[in-house]
Amino acid sequence: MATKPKNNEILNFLASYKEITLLLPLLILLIALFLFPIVKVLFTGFYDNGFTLKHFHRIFTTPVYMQVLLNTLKISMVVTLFSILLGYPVAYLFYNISDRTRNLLIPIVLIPFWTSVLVRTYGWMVLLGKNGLINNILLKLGIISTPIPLMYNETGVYLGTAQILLPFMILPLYSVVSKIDRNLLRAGEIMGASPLSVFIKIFFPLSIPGVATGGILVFLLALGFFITPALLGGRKDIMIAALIADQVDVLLNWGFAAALAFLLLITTFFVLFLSNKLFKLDRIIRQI
Amino acid sequence: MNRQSRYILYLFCSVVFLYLALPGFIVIPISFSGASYLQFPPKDLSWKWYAAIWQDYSWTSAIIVSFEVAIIVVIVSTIIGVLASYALVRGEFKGKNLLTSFILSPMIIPHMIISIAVYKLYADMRLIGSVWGLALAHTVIVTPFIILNTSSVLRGFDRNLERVAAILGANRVTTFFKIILPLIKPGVMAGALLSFIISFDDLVISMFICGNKRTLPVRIWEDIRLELTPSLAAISSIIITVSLVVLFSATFLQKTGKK
Repeated sequence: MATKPKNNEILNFLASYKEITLLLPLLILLIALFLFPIVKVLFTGFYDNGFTLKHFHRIFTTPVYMQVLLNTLKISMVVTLFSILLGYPVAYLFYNISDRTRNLLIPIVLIPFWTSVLVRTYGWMVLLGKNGLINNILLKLGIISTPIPLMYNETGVYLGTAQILLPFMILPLYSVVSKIDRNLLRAGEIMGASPLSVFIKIFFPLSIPGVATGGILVFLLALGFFITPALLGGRKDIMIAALIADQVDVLLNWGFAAALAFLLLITTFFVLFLSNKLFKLDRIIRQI
Repeated sequence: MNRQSRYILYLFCSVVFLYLALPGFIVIPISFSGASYLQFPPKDLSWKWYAAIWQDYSWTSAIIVSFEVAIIVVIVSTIIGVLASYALVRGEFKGKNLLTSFILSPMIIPHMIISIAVYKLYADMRLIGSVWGLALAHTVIVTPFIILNTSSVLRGFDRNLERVAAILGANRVTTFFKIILPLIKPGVMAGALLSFIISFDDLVISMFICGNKRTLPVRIWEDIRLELTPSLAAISSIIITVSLVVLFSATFLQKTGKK
C-alpha cells in the first residue's frame, strides 16, 4: 500500500511529460506562423531607423484616418445592437416551441453560418443593387419611381454585416437560454406574476450571459471585418481592416499598416479584458 | 405569453428567418438565368453559366487549388489538433490556462492582422504562391475549432476505460488508437468538416499570400469588385452545395455518434 502513491507520482510525471510533447507540433506552428510574424510586423509600426511614433501621429492627426477608426467603432456597435434586437426574439422563440419545430427551424440559422461570407455578400449585392431585386420589386409596385441607393453606403454595410454575424449572436444566446429552468418561470406564474413580469424579472436576467457572449463575439468579429463592409460600403464607409489591406496591397506602406493593425489588436484585447472583468468569459476557456 | 404577443413573435421571427436565408438562396435561381445580366426571376433557364465556369481555366484551377489546400488543412489540423486537445484535457501542467488561451487566440485575433503578418513572412521567405504555404496559414486559424470540438468529447467519456486498457497491458499508443480514437471520432469528424469549410471559404488569409495559386474565394474577389455576372451566381451555387453537403454530413455524423 505504501508504494502506491509513489508509483502514481512517477506515472503522473511520465504522463504529463508525454502530454506536453503532444502539444509541440501545434506550438511550433503557432510560434512560426502566428506569434513571431505578428510581433515582427507590429514592430515595423514603431520603427523607422529607430523608434518612432510618426505613424500613430499621422493616424490621429489626419481626419480621414480618424474617420475610419470612428466608423469602425460605430459600425461594430450598431451591428451588435442590431444582432441583439434581431437575435433575442429568435432565441426566445426557440425556447418556447416544441423540439420538433425547433429542429426544423435551426437549419435556417445554421446554414448561413456554414455558407461562405463571400457568397452571402454576393447575394446581398444582387438584392440591393440599383437593378437589384428589392429596387425592382419596389419599382413594379410603384412605391418608388427611381431606384433608391441601398448599396455602396451605410445601409448596405449594416444590412449585410448584421446578417452575416447574426448566427454568432443567436447560437451562443440560445445555448444559454435553453438551460433556463422552466420551473422557475412556472413558479413565478403560480405566485401570480403577469407573463410580462415573469419575462422581465426571471427570464431576461437569466439570459444576460448569453446576450453578453453573443454580443461580444459579434462586436469583435465586426471590428476586424473585411469582406462585407468592403463590398457593400461606399468610399465613406471604409473600416479599419480594409484600410490595412489597402496600405499593404496598393501602397506597400508597411509601417502605417502595422500601426493600424496594432490599434485594432489593442482594441480587441481591451474589449476582451473588459468583458472578462464584467462577464467572466474565461470560464469558456477553463472548460477545456 | 398571450395569443397576440405570440403572433407578433412569430411574425417578427419569420422576418428574421427570411433576412437570414434570402441572400444565400437568391443566387441559386439567378445562376440558371439565360440572360447575361442579373435578372430575377430568370425568364429562360440555362446551364450556360455553369458551362462558362467549366471552360474557364482560371475558375477550374482555382477550384482545384481550393480543394488541394482544404484537404491538406483537414489532415494537418486534425492530427495536430487532436494531439493538442489530448494534452490539454488529460495533461496537468503549470500555465495550462495561459497556454490554452494562446492556442485558441487565432479565433479572436482579426484575420486581417494574421494575413498581413504571414504575408510579410512569406514574402521574405519566398513562400508566396505555394499550396503548402496557404495550407499551413489556414491551419493556424482552423486548429482552434478542431480543439474545441475534440476536447468537448474527450472530456465527456469515462477515463476508467483508458485505465482498464492500461491495466490489461495496452501501451499508450494502443490505448489511443483502440479506445480513445473510436470514442472521440464524432467530435473529431465534426471539427475536421468545419475546418474544411473554413479553409475552403477563406479569403482574408489567402488574398495576399496566394500569388498565382489563386483559391476560389480569391478568384471570386477579383471579379466581384468589377462586375456582378451570373457566372458568379453559378460558382456561388456550387460553393453553397459543397457547404450543404459538408454540413449535412456533419449533422449526420453527430447523430450517429450519439447513438
